[in-house]
Amino acid sequence: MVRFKNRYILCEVVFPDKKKEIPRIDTKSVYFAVRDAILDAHGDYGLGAVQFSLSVKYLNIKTNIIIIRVERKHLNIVASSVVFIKKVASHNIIMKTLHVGGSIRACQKFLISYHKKNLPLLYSGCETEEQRAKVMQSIVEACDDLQNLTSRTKLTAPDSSSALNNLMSDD
Amino acid sequence: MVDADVKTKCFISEKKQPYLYMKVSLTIDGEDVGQLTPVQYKYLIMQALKETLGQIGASYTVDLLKLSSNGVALLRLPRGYSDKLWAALTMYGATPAKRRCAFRVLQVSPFLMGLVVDSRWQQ
Repeated sequence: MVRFKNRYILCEVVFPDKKKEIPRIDTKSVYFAVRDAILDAHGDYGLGAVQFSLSVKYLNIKTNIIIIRVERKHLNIVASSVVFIKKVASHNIIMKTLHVGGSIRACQKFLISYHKKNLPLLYSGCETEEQRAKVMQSIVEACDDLQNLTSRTKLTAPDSSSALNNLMSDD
Repeated sequence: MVDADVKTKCFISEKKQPYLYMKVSLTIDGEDVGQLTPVQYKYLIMQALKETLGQIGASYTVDLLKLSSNGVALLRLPRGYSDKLWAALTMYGATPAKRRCAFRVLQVSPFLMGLVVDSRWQQ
């Protein structure tokens, strides 16, 4: 037996237009945008090579993260045409490829470390005290979750010191 | 046994050649191909590439070396992509004006000299 070997492209969707409401995009519209970009950049040949395995596996509207699956052989076709996507369902967007992984799990692992890195940046980018408090709270919550997770796996009693301090010392 | 009267020479190159030379003929439904200028001819080739290989495929270099009056042209393709370009030319079926058309590949050779003689049409 031979497995179908895939690659998963982890992308961040950036909205250059500053609007109040959350843009409504779904998996289907992202798929069509990717498909059109491939047709434009690599023509009928590129689309035919990729279409069998192309699918959008994951879409998070809140964090603007998507995961696209492709056959390993034709990764270059998709990776090179994703760059040229300008519009998804009438929203102007920019696609930033963050990571290419061999499985969804590997992509999620990367995503956790990516968000971990970005939370402090978010904190320093805050303008009002209120926002700052909000971000700090979410950091603390995330750290608590993480610690609960690790303590459960290691079967040790949770440390009495703050989870945030733990994180600081780790980094 | 080698006949003493007939002198034949055979050249074999073991090196990889950088280009593939191709003789193609273009036919367009209900149109005189002899009227086409080299620029128009190249435009049709680019259209063919764009259709099957997209914008990135159309960035491959194709040189139109010579255009005869009967729509037969000599092309020079880089060896690495020659098969893709060949396929794109063969797949082309309709001009932008929706006229049916076809590129027919008559001869290919890694040497320009190879296109001088065509054994198919020899008497």
